[in-house]
Amino acid sequence: MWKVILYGYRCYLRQGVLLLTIMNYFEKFGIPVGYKIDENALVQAYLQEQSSFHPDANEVEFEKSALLNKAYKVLSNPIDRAKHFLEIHGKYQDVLDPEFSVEAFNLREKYETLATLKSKKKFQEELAKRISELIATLYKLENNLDAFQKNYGLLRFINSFLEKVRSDAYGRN
Amino acid sequence: MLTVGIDLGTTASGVAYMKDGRPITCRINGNVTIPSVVNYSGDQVIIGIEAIYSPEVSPESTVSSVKRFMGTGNMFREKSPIEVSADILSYLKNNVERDLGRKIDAAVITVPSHFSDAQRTATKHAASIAGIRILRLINEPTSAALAFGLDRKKDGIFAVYDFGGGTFDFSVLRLRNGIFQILATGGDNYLGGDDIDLAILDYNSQLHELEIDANEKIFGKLVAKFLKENLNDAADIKKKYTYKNRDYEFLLSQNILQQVSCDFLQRTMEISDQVLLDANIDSSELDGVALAGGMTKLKLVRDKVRKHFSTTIWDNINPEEVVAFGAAIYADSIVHKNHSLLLIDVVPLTLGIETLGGGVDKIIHRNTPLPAMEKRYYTTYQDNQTGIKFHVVQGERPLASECQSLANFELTGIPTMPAGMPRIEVKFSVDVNGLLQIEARDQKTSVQQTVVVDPSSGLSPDKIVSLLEKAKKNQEQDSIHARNISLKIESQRMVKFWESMVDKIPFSFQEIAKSGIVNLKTALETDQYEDILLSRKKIEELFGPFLDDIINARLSGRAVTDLAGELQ
Ligand SMILES: Nc1ncnc2c1ncn2[C@@H]1O[C@H](COP(=O)(O)OP(=O)(O)OP(=O)(O)O)[C@@H](O)[C@H]1O
Ligand SMILES: [Mg+2]
Repeated sequence: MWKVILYGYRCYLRQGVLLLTIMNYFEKFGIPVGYKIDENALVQAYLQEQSSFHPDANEVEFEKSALLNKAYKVLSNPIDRAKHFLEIHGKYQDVLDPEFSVEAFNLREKYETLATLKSKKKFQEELAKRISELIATLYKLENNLDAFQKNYGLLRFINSFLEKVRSDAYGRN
Repeated sequence: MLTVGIDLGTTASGVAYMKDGRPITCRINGNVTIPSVVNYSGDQVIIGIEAIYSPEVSPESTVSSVKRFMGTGNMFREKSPIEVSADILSYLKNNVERDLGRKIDAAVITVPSHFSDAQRTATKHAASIAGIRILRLINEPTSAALAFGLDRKKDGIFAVYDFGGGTFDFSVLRLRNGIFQILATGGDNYLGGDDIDLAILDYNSQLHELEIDANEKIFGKLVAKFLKENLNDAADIKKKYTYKNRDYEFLLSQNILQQVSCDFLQRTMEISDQVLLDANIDSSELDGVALAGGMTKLKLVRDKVRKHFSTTIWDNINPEEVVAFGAAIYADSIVHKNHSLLLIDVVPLTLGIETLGGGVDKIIHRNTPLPAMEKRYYTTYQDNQTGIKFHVVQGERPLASECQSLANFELTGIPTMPAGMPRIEVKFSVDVNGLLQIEARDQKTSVQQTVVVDPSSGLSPDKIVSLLEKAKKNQEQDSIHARNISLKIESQRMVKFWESMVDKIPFSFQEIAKSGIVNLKTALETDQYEDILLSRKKIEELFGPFLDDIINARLSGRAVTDLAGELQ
């Protein structure tokens, strides 16, 4: 069996068939797989690795350094980490559970009715608060992957909705 | 071997290098910075302090604040911002080399942290044209953080509030074991001291019911700038402003300053808060806020920062030198492979590809750590399509048309196939300088194309090549003889400049100054180049501390048309 590490994926060439599996970022930094992480240990491991592979320290390891950055970025962000956690368990999917579609619909409706800058700003805060709540929920559901998956779906929806609302409001750049 | 750090600022530029493990500034004309101002009259290129105050220059041919237009097609006296910046860089290089008696081998040059790819590329071109080998482009607030970090040797989470002449930048970073990890950055390219000067000028022209022509605004702005820099703790300060042969009294009080800068300061705080949000750091977690940029010399700004962040304020390094210091530190660390120091910076603005509907597929999000790399796969949507066009944009807005356009490229030579069959891999890499490179490859045929992202940096590729060739020729011809000639011409001009200034310095110094100038003239007449350098240095040291007074005297003593001009 051949094993090649491609960018962000592990590829296995098995009996002529190319299999792609998600690279496990937790392993990369030698920290236990789980939604809860020891942030300090993550930072420590990341910086330690970068001091050997960052282009200013090591001219030839551009891709390795970039991959470390990507892995770190995913693990340090609770939303991206949730997705990665699901992916590793083969549980990631890009759908909103019907249980939450009413909430999603109502949020969209509400945004349509907002006219003033102030109310839009307040709406952003509301979404941000809901995101924090959902992240807190995910921490409790670490051992219940189905429920984790459903809540992640809503979290993902609200987060991209917030991104849209923010970018609508983003001034000149 | 000499490596330096260069702060190429909107209003002021400076160079620093390492000596005995500490950064120090190379003084030019007795000052830590030179004004980023260039005068083009005929074949002559006059740079820095002389370009503003020399009796020989006319305001119409003087160019300033071009950094604000880096990466655009705007022209100044028929020069692109790249060429003007290259002239400033050459001047810095020549002066430093002459002063230290060594050639600059390579440099770290600083740019505002949210400079786009186009603006970074333009800066890189300017350095090449000036014959400077770039080790790295680093971000200004990051550079300031390096200088403070080295100074404090303290781990923690910090912010840098960098308010300069043209731009505002705010960065949040973690410092641990000599690694500077930027967590998030943000800023505004059009928010700086220049804007406040303009607001002070507007306030005063309204007060006097004056309609100042665009060309004359320039001088008015200099007066405004003077008021701003000299108000200090006084209740108010006044200065004469001559316009169309009439004298007006321009005024600045603490109240007026507060009033005209209120919105600008508010905006710096909004940007700061957004960056903290992006970094997921609460301001109570900050172990300190470091100040950089000349605007932070204003008490009003410092008070506001102190109030907003309620944490320790680091202000013990001169905010006009701190950026060049950090660049010098990093330049030294790179060439000496000093692994005790490392910078991990971030992508300042999201990079993406325009989608069919005119939206943006965000590929590398802002605040992604550098270096960054992402791959995307594309296919054809028509049968037998042999090419795919891509439009690369940078910015946070949802529509591609509202973002900055970086590059258009087409992957060609795809073999004819039914729609959806080809699999084109496009690899986006952003290097540690924040520069984007794109490679596209058809996975079936392995047709590979590397796209040089040379965004409309304001100059055509042909023009850049020809400028580079010219620069190379200049360097080849750079002999001791040629350098001596330019030293002579420049010094002759400086003699005139100092002669016109000598009665503006305190009386007790005037005799020494005059005899210094006489010595310089003798050295010039007899071509004693060593002596020319020595006597110049003496005069520069003598005039240095009084430069502000001299400028002040100049501003109030002369007619408008005699004074410096600015385009914008
Ligand atoms: N003592 C002072 N009091 C108030 N403002 C000052 C003082 N000294 C300098 N400034 C202001 O600081 C600004 C210049 O700062 P600085 O030299 O850091 O900017 P820069 O590097 O040229 O610009 P940028 O970093 O935006 O490209 C000018 O607007 C200048 O008027
Ligand atoms: Mg600056």
